[in-house]
Amino acid sequence: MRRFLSLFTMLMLCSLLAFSQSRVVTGKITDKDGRAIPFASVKIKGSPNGVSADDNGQYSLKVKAGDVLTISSSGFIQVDVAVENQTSLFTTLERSTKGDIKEVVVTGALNRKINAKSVGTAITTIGAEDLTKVKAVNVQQGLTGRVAGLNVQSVNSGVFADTRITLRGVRSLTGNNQPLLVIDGIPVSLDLISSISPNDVQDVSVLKSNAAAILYGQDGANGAIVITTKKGNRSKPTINFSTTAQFDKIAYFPKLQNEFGPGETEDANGLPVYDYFTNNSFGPRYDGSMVPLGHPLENGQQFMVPYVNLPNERFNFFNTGVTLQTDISVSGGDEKSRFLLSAQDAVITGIMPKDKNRRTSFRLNASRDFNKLSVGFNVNYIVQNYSVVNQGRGGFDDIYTSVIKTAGNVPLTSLKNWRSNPYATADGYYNFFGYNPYMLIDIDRSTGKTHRVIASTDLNYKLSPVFSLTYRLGTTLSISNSRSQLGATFVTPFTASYKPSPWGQSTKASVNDFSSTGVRVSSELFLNFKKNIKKFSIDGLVGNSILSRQTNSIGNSGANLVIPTLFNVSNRTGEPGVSQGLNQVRTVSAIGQATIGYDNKIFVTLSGRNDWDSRLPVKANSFFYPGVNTSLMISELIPTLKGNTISSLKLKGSYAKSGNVNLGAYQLNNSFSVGSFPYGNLPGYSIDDQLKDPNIKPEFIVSKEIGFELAMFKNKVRLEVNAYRQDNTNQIIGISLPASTGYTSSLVNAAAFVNEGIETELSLTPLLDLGKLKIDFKGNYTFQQNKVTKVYEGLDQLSIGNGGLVVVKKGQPAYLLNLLDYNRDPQGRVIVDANTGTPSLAGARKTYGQTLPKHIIGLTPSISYGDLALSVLFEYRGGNFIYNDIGQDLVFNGIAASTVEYDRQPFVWPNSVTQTGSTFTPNTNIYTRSGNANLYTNSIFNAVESAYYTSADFWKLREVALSYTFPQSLLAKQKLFKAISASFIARNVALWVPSSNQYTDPEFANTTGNATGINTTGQTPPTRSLGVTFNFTF
Amino acid sequence: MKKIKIIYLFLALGVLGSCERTFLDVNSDPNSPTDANITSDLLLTSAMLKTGTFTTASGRGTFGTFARWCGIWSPSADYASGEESKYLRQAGTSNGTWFSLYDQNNEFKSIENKSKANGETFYQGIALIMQSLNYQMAVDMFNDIPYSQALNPSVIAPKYDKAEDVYLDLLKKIDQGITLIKAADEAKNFNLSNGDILKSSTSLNTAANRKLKWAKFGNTLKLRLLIHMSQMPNINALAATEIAKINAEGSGYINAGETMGANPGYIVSKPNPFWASFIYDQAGNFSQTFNRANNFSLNIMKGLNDERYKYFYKPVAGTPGTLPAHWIGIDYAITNSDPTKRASVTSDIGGASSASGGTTGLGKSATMNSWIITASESLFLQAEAKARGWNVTGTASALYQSGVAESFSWLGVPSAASVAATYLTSPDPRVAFGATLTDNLRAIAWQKYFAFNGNTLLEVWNDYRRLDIVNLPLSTDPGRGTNPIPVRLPYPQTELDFNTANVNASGGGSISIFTSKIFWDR
Repeated sequence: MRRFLSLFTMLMLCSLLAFSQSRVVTGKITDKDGRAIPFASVKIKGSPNGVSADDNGQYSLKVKAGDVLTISSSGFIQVDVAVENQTSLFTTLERSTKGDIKEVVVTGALNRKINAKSVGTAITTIGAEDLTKVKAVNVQQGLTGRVAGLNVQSVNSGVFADTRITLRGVRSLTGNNQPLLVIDGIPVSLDLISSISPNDVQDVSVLKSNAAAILYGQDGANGAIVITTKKGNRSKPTINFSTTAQFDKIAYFPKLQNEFGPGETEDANGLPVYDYFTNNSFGPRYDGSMVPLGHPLENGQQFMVPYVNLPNERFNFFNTGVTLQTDISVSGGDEKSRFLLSAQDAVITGIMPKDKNRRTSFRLNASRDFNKLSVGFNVNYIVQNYSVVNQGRGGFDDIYTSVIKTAGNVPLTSLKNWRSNPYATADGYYNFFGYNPYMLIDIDRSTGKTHRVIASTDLNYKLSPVFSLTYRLGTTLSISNSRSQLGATFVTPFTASYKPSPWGQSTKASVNDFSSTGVRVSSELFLNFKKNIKKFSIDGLVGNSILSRQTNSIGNSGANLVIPTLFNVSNRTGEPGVSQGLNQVRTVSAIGQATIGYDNKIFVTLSGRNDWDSRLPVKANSFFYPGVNTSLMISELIPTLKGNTISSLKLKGSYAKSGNVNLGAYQLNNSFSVGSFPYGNLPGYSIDDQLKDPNIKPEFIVSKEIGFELAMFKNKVRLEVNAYRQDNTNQIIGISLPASTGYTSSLVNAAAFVNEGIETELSLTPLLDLGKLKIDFKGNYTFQQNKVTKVYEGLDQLSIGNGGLVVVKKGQPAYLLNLLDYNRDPQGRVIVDANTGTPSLAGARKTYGQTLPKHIIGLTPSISYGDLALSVLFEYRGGNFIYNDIGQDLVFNGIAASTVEYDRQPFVWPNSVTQTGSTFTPNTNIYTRSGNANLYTNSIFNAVESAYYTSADFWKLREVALSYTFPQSLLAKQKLFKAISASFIARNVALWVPSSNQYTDPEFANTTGNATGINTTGQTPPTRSLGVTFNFTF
Repeated sequence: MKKIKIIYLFLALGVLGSCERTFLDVNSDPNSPTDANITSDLLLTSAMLKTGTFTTASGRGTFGTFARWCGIWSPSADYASGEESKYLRQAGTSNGTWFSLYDQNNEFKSIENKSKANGETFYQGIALIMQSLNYQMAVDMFNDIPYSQALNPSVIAPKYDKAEDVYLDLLKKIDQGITLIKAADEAKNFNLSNGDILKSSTSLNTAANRKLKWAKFGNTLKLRLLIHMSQMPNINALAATEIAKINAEGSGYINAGETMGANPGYIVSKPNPFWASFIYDQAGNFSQTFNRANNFSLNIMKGLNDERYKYFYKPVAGTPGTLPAHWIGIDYAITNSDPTKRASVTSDIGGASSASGGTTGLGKSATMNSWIITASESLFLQAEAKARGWNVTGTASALYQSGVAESFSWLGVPSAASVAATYLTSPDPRVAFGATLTDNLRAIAWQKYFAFNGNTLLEVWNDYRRLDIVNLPLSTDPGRGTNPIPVRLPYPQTELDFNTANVNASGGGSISIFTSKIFWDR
């Protein structure tokens, strides 16, 4: 590990002048595993002369025979090497057991190893040791809660583990806000973050600022997560094998009532009626008697069940989800070449019965050095195979809804054999308004297979000690095929005579196939330069980048399949549905960057990029974005500051602009679509509902940040604080239009908003060091807030998605929930009808609280005793709100706990008034007309939204990990294993939310897009998981 | 050596820079047409199809509500009662109807703009007439609407115009449309024979009669606007002027047998939307179980020996042990626990008796036209105009009787003419034309009510509000309270949300669906 101490040595050496010596020796410094130690200092003993190694640990120095070189780097034990007749020196340093923490190099944009001192923007680097210490199954888990400003939100608990990742909140109101993922220099799809084994990771750099865009282009505008994988080492091959099993179980459901069974009507006296055919729970109170369930069968038999609540049926419908993940890697190499070959197989079976997702990936990293030329080659193949239930069957209940709304006395799990159990078939299933979910799981499936190949090649050529050329050609090829099928259902004429359609009708099967291919090709050419002139250093590049992205997708579908089990579009009657989409985007860029350093104490980086983008109007397709940042090593500039208290202090500041064409291809002109045409030979086209702007401009982000990094008490305490402000202008937004314009939205340069935030990272390592017992603590706190400063001419508010429920409003933070409320008097009391005692719905929506968290806290205390380590992650997010759409369904179906708040009796609406003209009289005696079905199935409960609006605050014990590393003394007796470790990880152990949130994990959302803040039954219930991992090194 | 390499590098960069323009010019849409390559005929087929679908099949949506409010259909006991049977309506429920009307008109507006620029005056005239139709329907449901600033891409929040002003402007728009059409050179209207999918009787479908067809359509629409305004003060003067113009134009109105509708060439697998929504779906199943015969309309027709109930509604399907072919209706909004009112034991919406189609009922076949204005409506409009003393050709009673006969004939009642003639001998004041204007209006109102069953549902509600003659029963839903049948629809949520200032400026934020009347409802 490269440590902070080397900085001091380096500082001294940098200022030294080299005098004429007899000859030049070149050297390379590595650790005992063969990994280069960058920026190590090389000093000639007894002389003022010396140099520092480059980022590959290489150096050259003029020496005389008999000189002794002192080679040191922080974190390593210093060695003296005598120079004799060699022209090259190969030095291995041993790691020192104590020392400071601060990384000397960080991986910056374009995978450039840069001196940490010169970095003027916020970069958090997580090293391999940190990642493997928490035994994360994937990198994304390893980052969650550990980086200030990084928000990893799990929005669902399905087999795809949908997550939304943002850095510093949002920068585009409607566009992509997720950071760029870069693996070994090649930008790849963000979802691949879970395909990288933490064992293969050298380090992860989180580039928080949009300054990343200057080197990475527009996709870097939201920051970047840069993963560098291990390149293999120069000793004999190392084999790493790890296997993980993780078990997920539903943690909890929304709060449900368990007193009343099926029913949806009231008798003449307002008393509940037992209805054996319904999925609503407005029946009488459970009394233990035997009751019929469902219509009598054709043979006269009727399903009889005890009228009692079965508390576990809904819970037991769902499975224990299992994730089995195996990683294996082989690495090795020699002086000139290195390789890493790794494979991963992850098989995820969901809590939803039969849902499965399998991802297998292979990776090869190889490189070879030839004198001045080094060549690298990376290839990664990922195949994903999934099969999940096709939710909703064309607008009907999804599986979760149909399970959760099932009345408490229905023995749901006994109706699994829907083919053979007469009460479980499409004929016999009790519910008149829904299908047996077990049947849907079997007959309605979405399956798919995606292949991705990511390949890149690197060429590095040293032109001279100052100049080098880098060329990188990268390509991502993806092929995906998916199929969605709805199975046929069969019912007898007897069933059709009493069951309503479609449940009482036979329906034909349908199939929908979709395939797409995508190719991304990038070509980057850079001229790098690096030179020290006396106390000044300059390090920079100029270059050119060309990016081309192309997709072609084809879909076809057929309804009315002839042979019901043959899911092929040719097996149909009627016309097939066909569609095709072609897409091509090209971007050309010119890039320049230079870092000028003075005396290794002051650094200024200037950068700029110009993009030419095909998505913009041809005559205005060019835009430029510059950046500047500076870093001041205060503790070096004012040496008196340094001492036992302050180990180091760095100040930094940055300004960066970035542009972002938040547009798809072909978004400049109004387009037309065929709809149901052609009819025979008759064609037709209709205007698309979105109005386009042919002169649209890119979105721009201007960010300013300042910060400091402080290390104290011999680096035991480290504090980093960054404050930023981002001005986001020219936002490209499809603003919602009233339909009277003829369109429903218009794609224009509209809103502007400002983001501000503070990110704080504190580490106390060790907090306590008692020899074998060590306690560490790391914590981070992020405050982020934004404000919309402009919406659009003539508009103060606009909808950004989720059906107008999520909006932005001038002067308010983005995004706000925009919900329908009851009519209220000026004091906010609910106005009820003087006859019915029930409220009415206000006509227009009102804005409520923000959906993005204001405060995020991550706390990771850890304790280790010898080889045993325990680490814990607590996370808090708060200051935001959520609309629990699921609440409407739960109330309407009579299963929400809130429907028994008044024991199913009429009640006086709390804090309500009646209205006479403009007079409001507090209501104390007007009861609702009903306390049963007639009240709760009233459309008001299904239409009001504010009633299901709650705080989204939570504290979560996200992770508890216990790991044990087998001591070397135990392993010494055998030769097979070099290292063995085992760990147990519990995730989502506990969740604390305000009592108003009776629904679900507020992290969940019905989208991974920007309009988060709404959860529906489209998300399965939150899960808790327990995993075990074994790790072997051979 | 090194220098040469660096030079190569910069040369490479330079080459990339110079070919940039063509390299980046890849943004013309390969997936769908744009303004540059779309033509009027392509837009017209789609716009006509959408409008025909709206006038024919909106029974699945808002027009179905009118049918149920107005005693024509009733929900079966398979469904729980909703807000509709309480006469309530949330703003969001209007979104779809409002969107459809403006969406259709946006297409006609683009045809107007495009054809105007290209000198395609026939297309331009069609676009003006069709916009008038959609605006008329919008006013009849919502009263004041965005009109003068609507459908203009540079106005993102159009102001509302007074409903009466809109109506008066529509009369002009139709005149202008007819004038353009009659003066048009069809050869200058690219592909008009494909684009024009307004279908009527065989003789009107010929190229030679294309102008006549559209003029008749426009004149009938004008008469509909005038009749809607019949309760307005000073209407007779306006009617005299406008009818004089129609008479001077000379093409007349839609006549018996000339019901006009859109048909792009429906086929079994791409069927007429009424057929697909109400009669048979593509799998050969009955399309729906929600709407059933309403006892009000069914029983009155039965009592008047009006054969048409057998065609507006289907006989109850094969219930064992009962008489063949019987019709059972439902009182509006019974509770869904009544097993005698389930869909399977009550009368469905009438149409062909097999999935392969036929010639009788509302839904005759998968390939029938999507009606837009029926001939019987045109005849009843003429009868009422004449009865009011407006200068329409023919006698009021003859026009009235041919309206009734046309309804029987359109439904495919066997021997329609003689069955209708016998029916018209009934002395019942709902059938007999009578002598006074009051008698005439009563007979016309009731006969329109019968004839429009399932096919001209907005006009049923319009006549109920305008004439107050058909004594509709109120919903039996206990949740109705004291609510009367609504007299208008609430503005859609999309207008309240995205055009808030303008909808409020026109008083739209405080309208009541029970008391805020359409301007012609007096």
